[in-house]
Amino acid sequence: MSSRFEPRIVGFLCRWCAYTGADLAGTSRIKYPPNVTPIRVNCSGRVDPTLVLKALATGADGVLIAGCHPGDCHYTSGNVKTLRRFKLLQRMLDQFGIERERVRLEWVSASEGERYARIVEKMTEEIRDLGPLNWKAKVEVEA
Amino acid sequence: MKTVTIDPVTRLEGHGKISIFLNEEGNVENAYFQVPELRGFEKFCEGRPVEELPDITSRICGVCPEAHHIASTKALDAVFHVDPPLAAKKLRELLYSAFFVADHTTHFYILSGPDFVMGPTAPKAERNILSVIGKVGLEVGTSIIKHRSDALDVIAMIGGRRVHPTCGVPGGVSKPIAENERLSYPPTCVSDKNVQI
Amino acid sequence: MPKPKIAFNWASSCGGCEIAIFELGTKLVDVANKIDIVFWPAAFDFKYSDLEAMPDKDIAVTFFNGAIRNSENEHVAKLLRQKSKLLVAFGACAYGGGIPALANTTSREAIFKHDYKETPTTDNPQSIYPQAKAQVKEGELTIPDFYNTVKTLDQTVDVDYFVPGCPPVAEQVSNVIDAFVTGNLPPKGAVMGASDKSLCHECKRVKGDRKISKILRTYETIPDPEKCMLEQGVICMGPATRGGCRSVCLDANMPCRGCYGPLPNVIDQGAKMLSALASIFAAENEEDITKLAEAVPDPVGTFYRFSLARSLMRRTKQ
Repeated sequence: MSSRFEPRIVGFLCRWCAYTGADLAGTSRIKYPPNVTPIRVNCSGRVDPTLVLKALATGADGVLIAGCHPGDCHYTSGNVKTLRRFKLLQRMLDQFGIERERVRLEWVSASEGERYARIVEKMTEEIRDLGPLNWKAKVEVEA
Repeated sequence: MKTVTIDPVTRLEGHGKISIFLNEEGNVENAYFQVPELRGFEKFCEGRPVEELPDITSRICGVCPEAHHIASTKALDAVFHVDPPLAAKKLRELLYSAFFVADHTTHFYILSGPDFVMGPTAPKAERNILSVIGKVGLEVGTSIIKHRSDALDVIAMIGGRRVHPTCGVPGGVSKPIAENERLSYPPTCVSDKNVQI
Repeated sequence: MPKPKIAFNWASSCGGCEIAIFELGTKLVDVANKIDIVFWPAAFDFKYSDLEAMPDKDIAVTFFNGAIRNSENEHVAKLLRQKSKLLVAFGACAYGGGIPALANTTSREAIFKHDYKETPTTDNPQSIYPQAKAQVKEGELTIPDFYNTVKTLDQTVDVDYFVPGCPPVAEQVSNVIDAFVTGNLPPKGAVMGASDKSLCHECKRVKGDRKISKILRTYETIPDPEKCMLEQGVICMGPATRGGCRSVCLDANMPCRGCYGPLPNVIDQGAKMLSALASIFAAENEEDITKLAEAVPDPVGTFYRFSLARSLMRRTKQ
């Protein structure tokens, strides 16, 4: 039996909405893939692009950033800042050659446990199809 | 076959290696000059915004950055189909003329000068700029250093920096010389006596 | 008391850092009288064989500029590390990869194919590429192995100090030399000859509300020399770059391109610049934000202009 590639996805989840939503998926006993390693942050706006790149460079196959829906941010506009950084980060990731499916920004409210589960499921399957990122090996390749 | 290897070739900008093959009589059978360096500017400039190339190609050489910068800038003029105004052309030419002075001074005294001033048969440890200054004397040495520095002041006035100046834009240069800048430049080159070796 | 032995070396570089040393002018002559220069390919005739013959740790300080591009650069870096008490990564290339590290946006294969075959002025009908080993009638010739990815000096050997800049400006070179002459050195691993604050602190331009509503290519505008570049829509690396250079590029009415490298405790200069630039987008909705993001030409080549080798990703996918 061949072992299936299990994507390793780092998830930066804001404590007010997304992390609570993820918690709800758990308490509701919703079945979904375990491939996201959650990291709770105070606000999605706190996610420095450095953190995303660090995750990818050190072995992650994908990164999920999840925050409050626009208008609902606990800090008023933190999630707008996230969106600004994310859009520019996408341009840079395109140049690095990292597929857009690997780094996603999603809005998940505290009551959207089911939605969180489906996001993780979709992302896991998409990255499974893409295969491992294995960035370290790409750097070390000697042509 | 005996091989004599000169590695690295010194006192030039860049890397070089020479392999000399000697035959049984001890005479040169053949000699090969090898270039052990490559950076790939031709390829990695692709994908860069074209207006950034004068600054990127400037780094082809830190001894003659102005040459690459201006060549690249003139290429930008062609890309954008623009002809710079006369003042801009004169500023570019002034930068380039000052570059000649600085670059030729650097080349003569630091790079090739030791071969002429100390001689090619001088001991290895003496074929360098410090020995050249030792031979011509500190007064002459200081004068050479000052004139080279004056030329670099002109370069900095136009391009901001003394090494890798930056001023090339399509159709012109990025800044004029302000009147106070022009007046601040002392005309020492005109009044100094000729330097003789 | 024998004079301390000093060495300089260049790897994949341009010679600008050599010129930066000569910018010391008469001070170089004074300092040179107190030291014994034992290796400096740009200016002295000592060869690798002289270096190999030296006892370990015989050299007091080596100033090493240039990125590690090929096996010769790597070999000499290791040799100099062995022979030197202190090894200094001098200049942007040794510190962050510099301009040569832009080659990390391409590959060895692509560079060779383009440079030796495709460029308009190359005439190479037999597609002859340089080989690390070549047999000629008289014997064998060797040139270095060209690596696929450019590395910094400290990704190759242990480095004691870093002096950023492309090249380091004369005033800072003088400060650095003074530190070594007096022995007044910071702790190992420190960056020397640069400010711990961003270039914005030194820049003489007037800063206003720091919001950017349009992004312009530098040829699309004639910048007002008094106002902040970013506020005028011109991308300037100032917020993510160490000061110490007196913002001379800004004096020439050109934006900073980041040659003094990242600020203290920053592990990725490009990510920080991306964050800084995005943070001042004057855009609130997805459509406007996307428009601004798409107006940035070449994010990798701009944000990592001098530091791609020192970044987290280090290269683009081939």
